[in-house]
Amino acid sequence: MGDKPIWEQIGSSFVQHYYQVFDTDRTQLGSIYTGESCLTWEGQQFQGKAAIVEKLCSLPFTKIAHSITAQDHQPTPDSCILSMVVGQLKADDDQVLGFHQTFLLKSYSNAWVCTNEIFRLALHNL
Amino acid sequence: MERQQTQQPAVLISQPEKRWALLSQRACFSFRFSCCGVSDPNVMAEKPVWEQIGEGFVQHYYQQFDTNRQNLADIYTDSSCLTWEGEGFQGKNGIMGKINSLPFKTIQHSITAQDHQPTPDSCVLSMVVGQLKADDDQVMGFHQMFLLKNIDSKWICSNDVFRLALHNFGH
Repeated sequence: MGDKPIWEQIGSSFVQHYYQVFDTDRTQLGSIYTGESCLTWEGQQFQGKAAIVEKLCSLPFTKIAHSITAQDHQPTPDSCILSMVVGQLKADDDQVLGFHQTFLLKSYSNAWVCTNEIFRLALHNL
Repeated sequence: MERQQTQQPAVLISQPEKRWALLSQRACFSFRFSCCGVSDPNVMAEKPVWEQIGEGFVQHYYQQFDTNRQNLADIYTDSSCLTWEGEGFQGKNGIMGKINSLPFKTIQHSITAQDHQPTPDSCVLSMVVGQLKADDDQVMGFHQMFLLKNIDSKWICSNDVFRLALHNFGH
C-alpha cells in the first residue's frame, strides 16, 4: 500500500534517466526511441530514432541543465504510460526558461521505449 | 457494431462516424509514408487528421471550460483519468466532481501553443501550453495534456493532466 503505483515508478525512472542523459551526453538518448517514435520539438516534427537523435544532437548549446518542478504519470487504456514534466532549463549562459514536456512510453520486448514526445518552451506572448 | 480500430479499411466507408474513426488510421499510415518520401495526396494539402481531431477537441474543451464546465462530462468515460495539480481522479464522476468544484467564478484560458501526435495505438496525444486567468487573480501559465481515444466512433478523453506553471524560484 505504501509503494508507488508501477506506472509512477516506470515514469519517474524514465524521466530521471532522460534528463540525466540529456544533460550529460544526449548522443546516448537513441536507445529510448524506435523507428516509429515521433518527436515534436517546438512545433517541428521528427519521426524515427535517427531523425530524433539528429535533432537533439544538433541543438545549439554546449551545456544544458534541466530542473524538474513537477512530474505526473498515468497509465493509459492501451497499457502505455503517459508522463508530463514541467520544469526549467538553462542552456549555456542563457537565462533560465520554463519548459513543458510530454512522453508516451510503451513496452516492447520487455523494454520501455518512448513512442511519442512533445517539447515546448514556456514562452508566451505577453 | 465492431470496434476495429487497428484494422486497415478495406472498403470505402460511407457512414460518417466510421469514416471519422478509420481516417485516423489512414492518417497514421500516411504520416509514416510521407516521412519516407511517399506522399498520400489525400492528406498532402490538408492538416493531418490527428491534428484536426486534436485541435477540434482542444477548442471544444476550453470553450466549454470557460463558459460552462459542467458540459465537459461528455468527453470522459468511467475509465478516464485526470491528474489535476498532482491529485488523481478517476472516472467521469470523480473527474467532473473535481472540475465542478474548482473555486472560481470566471475563468479564461488563452492557448499559446498546441501540439498533436498520433500514437501507436491509434490515439491522439495533445499538449497545450497557455495562460489562464481565474476571477481577479493574476495571469498564470499552465500546461495540459490530453490523450484522446476513439470509442464507439466517438473521441473521448482517456487521460488528462493539468499543471500550473509555477516554479520554485531561488535557484
